[in-house]
Amino acid sequence: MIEFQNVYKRFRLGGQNKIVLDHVSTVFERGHSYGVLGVNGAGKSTMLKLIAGTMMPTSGKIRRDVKISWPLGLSLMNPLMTGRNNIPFAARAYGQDVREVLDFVEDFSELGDYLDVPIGTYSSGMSAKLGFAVSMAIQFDVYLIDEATAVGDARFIKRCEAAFSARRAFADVLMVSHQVGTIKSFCDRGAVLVDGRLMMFNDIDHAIDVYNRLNR
Amino acid sequence: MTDFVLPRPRHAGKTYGPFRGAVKAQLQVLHALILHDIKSRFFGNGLGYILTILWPTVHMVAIMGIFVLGGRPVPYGQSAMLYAATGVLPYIAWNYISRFMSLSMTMNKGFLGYPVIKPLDMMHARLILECNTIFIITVGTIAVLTLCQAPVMPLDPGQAALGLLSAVALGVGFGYLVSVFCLIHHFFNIVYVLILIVFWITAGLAINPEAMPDQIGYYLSWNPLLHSIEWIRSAYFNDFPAHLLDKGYVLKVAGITFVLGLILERLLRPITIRG
Repeated sequence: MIEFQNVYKRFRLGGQNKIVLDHVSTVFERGHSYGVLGVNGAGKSTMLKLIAGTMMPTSGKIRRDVKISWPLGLSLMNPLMTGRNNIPFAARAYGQDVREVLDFVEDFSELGDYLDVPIGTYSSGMSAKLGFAVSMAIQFDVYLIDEATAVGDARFIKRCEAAFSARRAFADVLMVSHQVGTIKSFCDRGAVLVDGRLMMFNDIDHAIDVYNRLNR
Repeated sequence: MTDFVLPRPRHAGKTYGPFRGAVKAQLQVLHALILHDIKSRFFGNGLGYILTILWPTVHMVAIMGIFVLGGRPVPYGQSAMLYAATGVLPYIAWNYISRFMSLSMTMNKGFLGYPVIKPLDMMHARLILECNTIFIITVGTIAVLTLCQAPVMPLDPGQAALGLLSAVALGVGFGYLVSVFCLIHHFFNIVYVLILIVFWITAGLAINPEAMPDQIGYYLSWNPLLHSIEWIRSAYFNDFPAHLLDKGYVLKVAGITFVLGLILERLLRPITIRG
């Protein structure tokens, strides 16, 4: 369960206050996947970071009793070290078997000898493949997704989807996206973020209806 | 049909109580950070820990070498090497613990993107690593001094150990405080190095504060490291006057910087943890 207790998040943008969450209290229940909808700049990605705990609310509390991923596919590694030397850090930090994770990432990412060169030399595509492979190697209770659910070419995208489907059998998803179709295929519940208010819906179709009406 | 097998958690199926689970998660994070800090010092190789030990050792030997080879008569005791070591060792303890705690904030900042990693974890991990290093260096220094037939046994071993621990406490206190500033901006690493140079010059390594006029001695006594060095030297040398020594002062500075560091870490989280 992820619980927002009177969460307030404010930014200072160009001398003006931008309120992303205006004293929001709500609960994301275990066993359900949530799609968060909102127009550009509504603060959806900020909300994901707040949930992950990698950003602090201005006031209020966010309580989590689940193992939450970092936004899927994001590569958080030391650019001076090789892929092979970076992977054990994530494995150890999340209590996974280092050997197993290394073998999986090596096989899944298809980076071959590139795993032995510093990550700073990787192309963006290679970084994304490595980031996605490491995300899939670790079992989380809730996967956070900021738009992208897969990376790479068509064949790799299929592998990503297969891996993610297998993970989803035991995990929930919290997803922000503009693509209503993607949200609908992953989530059973929805939320719409507008002007600092978070409207929660037990039915994703209802959330999409409200989002579409607000967008008209 | 997939051609891969997703890894399972190492202790899949086992359930832990909330407290045990939290302790286990914390230990996993510290373990990961400590091993990463060791490896990141030497191109991803575990041999990096040798470098972690060698670096301050070379630093210390260089300072002691300059002192001994300079041929200056030592103000207290018979051994120039021992006199230099009683000043250099606490300086190295303070310098390396605090500097590398704060440096790891800059080097590992990217890891804050992992939800499970918090700034305090990075500070704790580096503290454990550097304290371990200082312990090994201290044992090594005592061994080398013994081999060089320096009178390494202090008159009061307990006070000598407490003096060194006070320098470690200073390193811990300043480490937490400076780390918070380095999280805000890496430029504070450079500022802190400049501050350390001032502390080094005025601590009693390059000069003998006890021989200074009262007025200058008073100003020098604001330097907390001076008191750690005097604490150790008073445990080693019979004729050491220690009229500047204030044991309470160094412990107060260590305690205040430690508490201030923790308070600032908590208060400045909206600035330091920005996603």
